[in-house]
Amino acid sequence: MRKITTDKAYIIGLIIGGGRIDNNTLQITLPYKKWGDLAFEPERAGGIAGDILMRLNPILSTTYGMETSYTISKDWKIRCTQITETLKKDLVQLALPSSGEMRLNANLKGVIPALKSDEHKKRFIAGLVDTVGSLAKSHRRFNDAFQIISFEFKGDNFELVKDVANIFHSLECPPDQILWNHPNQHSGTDRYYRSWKKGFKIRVSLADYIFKGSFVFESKKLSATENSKQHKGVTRNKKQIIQEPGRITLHKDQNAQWLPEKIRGGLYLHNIHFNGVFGVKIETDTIIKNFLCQPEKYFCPFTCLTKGTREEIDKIINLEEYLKQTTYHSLYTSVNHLLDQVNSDSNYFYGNTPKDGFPQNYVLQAVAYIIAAPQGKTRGKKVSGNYKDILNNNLTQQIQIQIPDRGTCLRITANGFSTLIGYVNEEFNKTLITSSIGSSKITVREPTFIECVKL
Amino acid sequence: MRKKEIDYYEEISVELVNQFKSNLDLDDQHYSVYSLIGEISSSLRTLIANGYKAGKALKEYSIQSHRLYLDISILVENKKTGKFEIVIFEIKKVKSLGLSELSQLIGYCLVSKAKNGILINIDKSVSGEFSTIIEGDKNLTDITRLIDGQHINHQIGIMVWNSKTHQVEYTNSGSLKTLPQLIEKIEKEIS
Repeated sequence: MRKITTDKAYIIGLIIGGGRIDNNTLQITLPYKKWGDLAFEPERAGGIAGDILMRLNPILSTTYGMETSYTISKDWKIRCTQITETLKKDLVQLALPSSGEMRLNANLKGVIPALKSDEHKKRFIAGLVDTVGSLAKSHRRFNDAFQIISFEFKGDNFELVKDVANIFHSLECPPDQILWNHPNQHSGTDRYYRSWKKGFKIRVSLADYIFKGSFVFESKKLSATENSKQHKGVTRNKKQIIQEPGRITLHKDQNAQWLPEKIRGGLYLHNIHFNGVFGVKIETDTIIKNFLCQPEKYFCPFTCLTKGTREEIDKIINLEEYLKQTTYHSLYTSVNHLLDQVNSDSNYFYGNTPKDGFPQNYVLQAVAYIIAAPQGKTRGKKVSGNYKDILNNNLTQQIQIQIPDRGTCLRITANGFSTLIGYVNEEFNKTLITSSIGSSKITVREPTFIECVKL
Repeated sequence: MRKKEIDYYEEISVELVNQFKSNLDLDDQHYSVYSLIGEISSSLRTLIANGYKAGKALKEYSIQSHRLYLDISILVENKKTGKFEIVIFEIKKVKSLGLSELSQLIGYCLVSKAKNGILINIDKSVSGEFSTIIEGDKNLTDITRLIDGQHINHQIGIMVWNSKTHQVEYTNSGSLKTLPQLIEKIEKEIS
C-alpha cells in the first residue's frame, strides 16, 4: 500500500466521518447542532467558521486542490463541488466507496495498512473528531468527574466501528465503552421495544484523548479543554473493573437479518462481551469469561419489563403465542399491601421457590410507571424522579395484578396503563441455551408455552 | 505568565519531528531526523560528538558552516546515500508577518545554503497585504542562485503554529504549501 501523508489521513478521517459523495460533489456534514448553534453558541460558531476557513480549507486546497464553501442550517455542511482526480485515485487506492454516505458504507481494510505511524492514526482520528466526535458535557461516566468524547455512528456499519475502536487501542487510548447498535445494548430489558436502532457510540475518556490524540479544529480543542476541567481526581482511564451485568431480555429482533451474520442470533451480556465476539481488543477477557460460564444468570427469555397503555400490552399478548395461551388470575391490591410483601428472603414475587418468580425490583418499577404515567410524570417510558418515592406517595393506589398459570409474564394494570414483567428461573433458562458452556457467542432459543414452568 | 517566542521552540520542534518521521517513507528505515535548536554548527557538532554517526557530507558541513543562530532546524539525513538536508524554521510571535521576517529567513537560507525554509508565526496568520506581496511575485519565495557553476534552489513557505491544538497550519502563502509537500521534496533531494 502506498503511504498517505498525515494531511491526507486527516482528510480521509473527515470524509469517512461526515462525507457524502454524489456525482462529482463532496459534502461533509459536521453534525454540531446544539454544540455549534449560531444563535445559542455564537462565539463557538465563529470559531467553527474560522476552523473551516483557516484550517480545513488550506489542508484541502493544498492537498487535493479542492476549494470549499460552507452552509449553516441544522448542521454545518462543507461542500466541494469538484472532486479532483487525486482524491478519486486515493479513494480507489484506499478501497473506499466512490459514492454515497461514507460512514454507512466504508470499511477500513485499505485505510488501516496506510496509517503506518501513530501520527497518521492520530490525524485520521482527528478527522473523525471534527465530524462524529461529540463533546457535549452530558457525555460522562457516572458523574462529571469522568468526561467522555463520544464518536457517534449511525447505520449498520459494525466493521467500521470495530476498526475505529481498534485504532484507539493501537494508540493506547482504549475506548472506555462501545455502545453497539444492537437490541441487547439499546433495549436490554424491553423485548418489544422496536426503536432500538439508535446507532453506535465509541466513548473514549477525554483525559486519555487529550493525552494521546490530536485536534485540528481549535473549537473542538477549546471545548475539550473546558470539559476536561470538570475531571476531578480521574486523569486517565485505568483498567476497568466490570460490574456483574444485569439480566438481558431475549429481544424480538435478536435474529434480525439487519444484524451482521457474525453476531446475529447471539445474546450479549455486556458491551465488552460484544467487543470480544466482534474482534475489538479487550483487556478484561478473564472477567467476562467468568460471566460466560453461567449465562443462565444473566438473561431472561421473556421481556424483563415492558410498559405501555393497556391497549399496547393487549396487542403484545395477542401476538406472543406463549402469552396468548397463558391463563391469568387477577387480584386487586394496594401499593401499600404490595410493599408489605417485599421481604429479604427472596428477590421474587409469586414464584414456586425463593429462587424463581417475577423480580421485585421490576414489579415495583412497573407499579411506579402505571401510577406516574396518567399523572404525566414520565419522560418517554421512564418515570421522572425516584420510583420508590412515587410508590410511597401513592400507597392507597389500587392496582390489578394478573398472575399467570405458567412462568411467562406477570401483568400489572391501573388507570389505563399496563406492564409486563418476565418470569425468572435459572434452571429453566439452562434448558433454553443452545450454545456450549463458555462459548463466547451465547445462543438461546425462544421458549414454547408447553415447556414453560407451571406456577 | 505570557509565553515568549522562545518558550514555544520545544513543542514546535517535537511536532515537526513527528511530522517528518511520519511522512518520510517508513518502509525505508534509513532516514535520521533530528531537531536542533539554536546555533546550527555547534548543534551539529554536539550531535556528532554525542554519538550520532553522521555521513561524510554532514561532518564536513558541521565544520564548514557559519555560526548562525537559528530558532529551529530540522536535520534529515539519508544514511544510505549520505545526503542530508537542513530545513530552517524561523519562529515569530508577532501580530502579523511582514517583509522583515521573510527577509531574515531568506538571509539564513542563502548563507547556510539550506534549500528549504519555513517562516512560522505563532497563533497569527499572514496579513492580507503581505499575502498579496508574496503571491504577486512568486520569485520572492522561490529563489535560484548560481554558485560555483551549480544551481541552488531555495524555497520558502509561510505557516502558523497553533499553540492550542499544537498543530502546524497552512496559509497557502509561499512556495512550500504543506509539511508533507516539503518532506516529499526533501525525500527526493536526498535519495
